Amino acid sequence: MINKIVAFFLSLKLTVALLSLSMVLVFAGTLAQVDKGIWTVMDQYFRCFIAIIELPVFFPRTWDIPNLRIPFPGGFLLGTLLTINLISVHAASFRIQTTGVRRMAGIALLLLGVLVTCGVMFGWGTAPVAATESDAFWRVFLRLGRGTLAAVVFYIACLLLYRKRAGMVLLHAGILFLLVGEFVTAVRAVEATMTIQEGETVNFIDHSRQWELAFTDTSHPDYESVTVIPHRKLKDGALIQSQDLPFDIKVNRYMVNSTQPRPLQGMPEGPRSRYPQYEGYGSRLYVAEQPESSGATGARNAPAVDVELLDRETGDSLGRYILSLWFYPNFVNRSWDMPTNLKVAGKNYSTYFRYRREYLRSPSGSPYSVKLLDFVHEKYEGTQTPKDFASQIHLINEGDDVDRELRIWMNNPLRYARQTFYQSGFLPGDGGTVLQVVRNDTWMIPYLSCMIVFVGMAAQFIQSFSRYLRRDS
Amino acid sequence: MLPDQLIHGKRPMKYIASTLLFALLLTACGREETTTYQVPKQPAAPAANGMGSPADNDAVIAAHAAMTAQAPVATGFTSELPEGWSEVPGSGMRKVSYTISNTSIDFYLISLSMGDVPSNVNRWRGQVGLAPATPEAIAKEVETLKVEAHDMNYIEIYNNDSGKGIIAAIVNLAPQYWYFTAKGSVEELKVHAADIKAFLKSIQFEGHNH
Repeated sequence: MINKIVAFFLSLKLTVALLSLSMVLVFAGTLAQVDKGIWTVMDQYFRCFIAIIELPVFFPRTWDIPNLRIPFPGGFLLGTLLTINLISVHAASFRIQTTGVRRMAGIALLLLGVLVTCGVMFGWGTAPVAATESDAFWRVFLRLGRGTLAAVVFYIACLLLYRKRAGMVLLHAGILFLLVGEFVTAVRAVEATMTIQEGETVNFIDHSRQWELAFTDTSHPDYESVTVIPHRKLKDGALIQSQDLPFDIKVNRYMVNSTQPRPLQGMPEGPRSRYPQYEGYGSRLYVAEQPESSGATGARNAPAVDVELLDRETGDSLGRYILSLWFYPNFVNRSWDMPTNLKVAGKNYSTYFRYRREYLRSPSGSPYSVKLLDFVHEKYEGTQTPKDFASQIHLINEGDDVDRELRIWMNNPLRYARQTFYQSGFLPGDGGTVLQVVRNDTWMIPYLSCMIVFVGMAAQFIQSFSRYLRRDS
Repeated sequence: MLPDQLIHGKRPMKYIASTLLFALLLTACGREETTTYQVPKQPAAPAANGMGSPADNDAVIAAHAAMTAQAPVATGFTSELPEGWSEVPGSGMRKVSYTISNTSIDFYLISLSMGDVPSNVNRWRGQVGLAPATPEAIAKEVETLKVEAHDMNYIEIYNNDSGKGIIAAIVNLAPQYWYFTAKGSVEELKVHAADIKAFLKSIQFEGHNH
């Protein structure tokens, strides 16, 4: 039995089959973006073990194709199997060929290589605040140089352990490293935004692909008490209870996307008569569910939730509310701010359905904030085409004794506290900036694995070429 | 062909098991629960254009419509362009923009459904690095011009310390308000202030296309 399993994973046929299945999956996933948002497709096709492919994605949408849902190996499953396949073949084909001191030295160097790789990945020895003064070209060059250092250490270790096969071992290991790195990035990386008006100080980021229903109790004079419900809990029909809230929340409908608010009185009679009796903004504005934005258009979804608040004691309704991302100021680039204000059991609540908020903390646990001192938006003369955006910011972390003025501009991000802050957009009238914030601890892996593969290939090539020259002479 | 040692050894199974475990561990993380936390009292966010009250629905909608407008909007007025000026079609919230040759002045028009003068002047003062002023002080600074039958509040704001300035005018076309804003360096704005004012005075509206 074990023999059969091992033989299965060692088979080249498995590699070919997995790569073919990957191609089908990528093809289906690309076509699915005609109807669905890119992140829905990522979750449904690639970031899962079993994907569900809907048959109509392969045909023009005007054709009447039955909506057959076909289970298919998902991206994670294919990636994991490919990784096992590669590791198995690696283990079977490349065996350590030395013993004694040479073997020990090889293993020691291998460990040193791991240490150097960790150092490069986690930026050991680099400044904690990686400012953006240097030229982009040299920055990339330096990163590749660091990757080369790790690759060379690995190569020497491989040379000691695998002799003539060192190059081959290294290049396979590089590909494996890239696969693992991409997997970790897919699962662990965080993408967020930070919206700051000129002169404002902000200490949180908005997660771009996660939302939450936030009730902020503003009654206390010194602090605010915030109760947040992640969007994954907001399922149709769910009853959400929290001991920190004096009411329960009944979810009538979770909407993946909602229309922009329009005056209710301006709506035709039909939709208006079917519109629920909401309190708050919903009593005057019309917000309805709409299909998810297509991944092909790049438009953003504005999820919304239709909830009813229930008295904890009596179960009586305290009002039905529509809470949409349209009401959250950072979604509309601060064009407006529409909190739904509630008064329940003598407490005042300011309510938003918003992006998941994460307060900024450095790895030491100390909170930090970013103040926008100035935003510069230069355009090509006589046009509205942007030439340069730049944010002059003040980074303050009292706990870590960081107090610096820095500049973030196009292609020149700020790296600090495991986050990278990119210049991404701006507020109307150039009154502020929108920064994209990415946390990806494995961002150096592509640089490292590229150089490991390069060194492995170069070594293999030089070895074969010199063998050819020797034979020739 | 498989090496016998590999098939009969335990190592491959160990690799396979640990890879699967690694994959599962990574994907299993991140359970989300309802949580409550405390944060220091937040200062009221400086809501752009002073919106935020429930009565501002129309403003919200108008601003959004302007923001998401795809097609260029007809400007709805004519005026005399001073020498060296050129008109640039609007995009986003801007109905129209103007470039003034050999300067970096950014001059544009947006339309909103609110026109509170003191709060807008203080917003502009903030943008050039000046502290807010009282409504009385602002009233002294603001010059009221007549453009056809409409009132236009005109103001020049300069901060010599930061070197930045704004010349702005709010035209009362209730329920809409037009905002002409010229941003640039104090030096350049002072040179072109007379032209900007003359341009604004020369505006003639074409019906109610605003």
